[in-house]
Amino acid sequence: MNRHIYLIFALIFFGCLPVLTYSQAVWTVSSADAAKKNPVPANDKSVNSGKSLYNAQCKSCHGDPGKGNGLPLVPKPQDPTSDIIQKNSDGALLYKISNGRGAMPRFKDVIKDEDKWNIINYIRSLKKGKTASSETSVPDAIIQSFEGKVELAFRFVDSTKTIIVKAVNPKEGVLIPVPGLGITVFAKRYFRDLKLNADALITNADGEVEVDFPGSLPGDSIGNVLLLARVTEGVSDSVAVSAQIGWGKPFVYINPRSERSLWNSTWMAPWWLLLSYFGVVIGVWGTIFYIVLEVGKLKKIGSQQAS
Amino acid sequence: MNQTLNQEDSKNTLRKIEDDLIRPLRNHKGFELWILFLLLMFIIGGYAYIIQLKDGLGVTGLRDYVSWGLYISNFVFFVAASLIGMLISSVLGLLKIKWITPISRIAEMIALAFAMWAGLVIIIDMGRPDRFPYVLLHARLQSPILWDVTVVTTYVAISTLLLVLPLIPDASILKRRMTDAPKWQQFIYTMVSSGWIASPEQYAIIRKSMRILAILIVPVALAIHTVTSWLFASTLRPGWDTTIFGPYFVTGAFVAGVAAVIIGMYFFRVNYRLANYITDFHFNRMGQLLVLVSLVYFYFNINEFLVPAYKMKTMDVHHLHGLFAGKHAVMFWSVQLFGLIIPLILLIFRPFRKPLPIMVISIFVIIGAWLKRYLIVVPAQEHTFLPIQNVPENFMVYQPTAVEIMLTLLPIAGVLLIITIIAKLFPVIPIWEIAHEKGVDESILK
Amino acid sequence: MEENNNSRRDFLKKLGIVVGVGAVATAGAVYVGYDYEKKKNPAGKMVKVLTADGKLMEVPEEDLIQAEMEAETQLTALTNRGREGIAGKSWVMVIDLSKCRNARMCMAACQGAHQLRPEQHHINVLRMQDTEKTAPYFMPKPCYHCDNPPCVKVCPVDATFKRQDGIVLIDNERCIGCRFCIAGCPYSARIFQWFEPRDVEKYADKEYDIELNVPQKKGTISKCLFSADRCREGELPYCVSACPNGVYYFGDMNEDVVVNGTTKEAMRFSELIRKNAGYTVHEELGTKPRVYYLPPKNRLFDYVPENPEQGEQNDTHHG
Repeated sequence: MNRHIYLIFALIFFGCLPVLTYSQAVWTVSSADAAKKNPVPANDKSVNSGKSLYNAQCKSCHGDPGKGNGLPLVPKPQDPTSDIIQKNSDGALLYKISNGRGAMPRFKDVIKDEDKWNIINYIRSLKKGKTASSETSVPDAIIQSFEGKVELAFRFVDSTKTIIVKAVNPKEGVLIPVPGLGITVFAKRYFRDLKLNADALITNADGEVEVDFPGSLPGDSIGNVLLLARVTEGVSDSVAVSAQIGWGKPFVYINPRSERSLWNSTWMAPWWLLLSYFGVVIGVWGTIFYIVLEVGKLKKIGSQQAS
Repeated sequence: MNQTLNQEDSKNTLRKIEDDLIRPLRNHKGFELWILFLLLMFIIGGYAYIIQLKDGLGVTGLRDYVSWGLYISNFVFFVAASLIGMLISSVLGLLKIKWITPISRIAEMIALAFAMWAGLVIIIDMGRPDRFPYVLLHARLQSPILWDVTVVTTYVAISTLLLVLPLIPDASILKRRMTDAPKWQQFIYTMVSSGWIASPEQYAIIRKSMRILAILIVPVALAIHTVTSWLFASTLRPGWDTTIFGPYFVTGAFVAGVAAVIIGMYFFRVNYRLANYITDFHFNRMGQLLVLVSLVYFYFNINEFLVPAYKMKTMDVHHLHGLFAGKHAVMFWSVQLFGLIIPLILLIFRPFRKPLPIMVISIFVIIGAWLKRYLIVVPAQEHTFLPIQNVPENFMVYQPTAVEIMLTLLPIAGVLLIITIIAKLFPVIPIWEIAHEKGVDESILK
Repeated sequence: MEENNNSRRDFLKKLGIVVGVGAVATAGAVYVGYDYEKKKNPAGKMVKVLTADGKLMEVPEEDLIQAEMEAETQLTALTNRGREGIAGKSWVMVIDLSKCRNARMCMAACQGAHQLRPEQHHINVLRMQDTEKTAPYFMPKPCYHCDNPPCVKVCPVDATFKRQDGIVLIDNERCIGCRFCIAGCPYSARIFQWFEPRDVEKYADKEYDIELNVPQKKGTISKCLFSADRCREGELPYCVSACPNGVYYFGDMNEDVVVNGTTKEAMRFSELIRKNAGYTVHEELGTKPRVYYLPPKNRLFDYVPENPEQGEQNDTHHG
């Protein structure tokens, strides 16, 4: 029993630590501000616009909505789906976005009010039970978790350079499309793979998603790019498939050290430099040796004439 | 001067010249004291170098921003002073100017001594002197340092020949006269005289070789200081990034070199009692030469400072402000006034070209020349494109330390030592050339 | 005539000596080459071995005996591969000035990795103010690994060199300490080991890794290396991964992708530069830097120098 009390005390203490270290931990908003009504209707346009603003301005600290992967700052930037944020009134959210606090910047003059309302509409759209609307915000594009085995396959449309990834469930020799899975397509790169779609695409009724290949993306010497598709939402196992496609910009590697230059190694110096250096050195030192040989003659003349 | 004396007069005249010029070689009054003094400078410098080798270049005032200081200034000064051999013995010689005969060897001695030590001064500045052979083993032809090493070596070689060739007939005379000298000294005379018998063929060889060398040394000497200027001008730093650095350095070197020769002339005239050979006339002429080269140098100074000061580019402003009115202002204006402008004006008047006044003026000029090298090397590094931050205070300003100053004594002593030794072994004025001018029969100059 | 003949004979004699010496030298060289060829293709059998960097190679059996040379050959292997660089790569860094808050984690990580003293910076976060009226900002300054590197041009001994993947490295076993490169670099990116380096005893037994420039050596140059050792392992540089504010992007220009060191997110290099008006510093000097900056606009924080007074003094002390 005693131990439990200590534990509770400890929990309370550590729980309050951020509050103690940050004296203005309670973020009060005046009732007038909190009562402000949102004049922008929460339609798809507003939500989408709010989403891209969120990704550009908020995500670096607050993280991906629902994943709780915000930066570990004090006070912690909260997840927008969390109650802590959601329980604020629209007006309170506007005030907090506008004025900031601590590490949270003031967006008053950075984001115009209409856009702030868009962000708030987006935040509201994340409320538990609701899901993020994405580019493919068709009614059936809702992530559904799937229990069975999932396989992915690539299909390529050359004419439009479109990548199609199909998710199927192989069942007794029949491939049944799996809708509602979040899929991300990557291009293989050295340090980290490049996402070709910003947010997970949700498979449609055919179990398919479409991604446009970025035409200017460099491939190998003949333009081959290694693609990777991965189910990022909807299944618990990691499901991925990779394929190579020759749509990339052919990249021909030229070793910069193969060119003669002043910064290269000595034998890769420009010809004019090598020729003038050795020309001058040989010329001058040749003359010096000639003089030395001439002086050597003096002695011979001396001994010859003396005898 | 060109009339030939008869056999008897020839002999007497030669005898007189020999007596006058060889006498100082036998007179050792104060010599040991002088050598002791030089040795002391050597020991102080050597001690400083041991400290530097042990603890690293950190014992200097140099840091990451001003990373070239006194040592590099010394190097540039030494290269500058060595240029004079070329001017006196070669350019004036090729122009058939007669009065240089008695001072050409003094000029060559100074040139050789400074050039040899210039190469060693640069080693003092190296962080890893043990790796000096790498400069040849792993040479990169694109680096101005390699060009500098090449051209300094070449210049030393040619200067040595230009000094040794006219010594050959003199060494033959010395071999005959200095029979009481120690064995090793006589051996040196025998070696240097290389079988000299004053035959017409031998004269032909000597004269031809000297003419070739006199021509050859002009581009090499210009190169030695131009390439040294490129160590700075090849960088992008404000204050160094200028196209006139080559000629600016060369003309500055002439000023320093002429002053050095005048000081040398005065010293030998007084100490070696050569007033009959190095006369007021020679000082007068050298004074006129100093006026000429100073005027040219003054002209380059105007170009170097007025042009950027007119434009006031952002990066030049800091540099120029530091020189004109900032922390280097006192040194800058002192150097310009006392090292260039006032000497220039004074020397226009004949009385100031008398031996003593011109010698004093030359001392000012040469100190000014040395400080000028410091002003070229150091302030430009204090003004970087990006601010100097997050480093201790001593990274931002350069102040030479005691070790650097002590170590500077080493090459100075070295230069003086080389001059002393040559001047003790051989006459500072070429006997045979003077005798030839006086009309002495060539065939007895042996 | 007689004399002329003499001198010609003399000349021929000298020529003879020169030719003779040359012939002996050539013969020697040919023999050594022959000997080497013979060793390369002996009648004996070849053995497969794994090198230190994981390559399978065939070696004549007799060469395997030289086991005591191992340390030395490995050393040269490290230096050789370090000088070679990684083929096909072209490293590039992007620094987003709008995010830099002067946290200095990059500096600390760098100094820890490269055996530097607190006042020695491979990367240095500067407090900048371009003119009196323009906004101050923080600017991390690594080496720019220029494509026309003024420092490499002037090195007399090939101690600093540019590899095929764009990184400008230092070989502190070659450096003679002339400091011409310090004079040559307009960005003050280079430092010199004026004294014994930090913790010199601790690193004494370490093998020299040219890609890390550790152990550091007294009397030689050091500088930012783009963490060449980490690049080889597919890891982001020390400074890049240490940044808490997402300031740094690092990647391969040939792949057109850079990765943010904080979020580890990959993005198109060209797009990042285009959308944010990326630029290089003092590009008028023609150095072609490999480090790009994104301008300090729309900053999400207030610029506060950690020590305003010192910042003031240093900013006006423009070098």
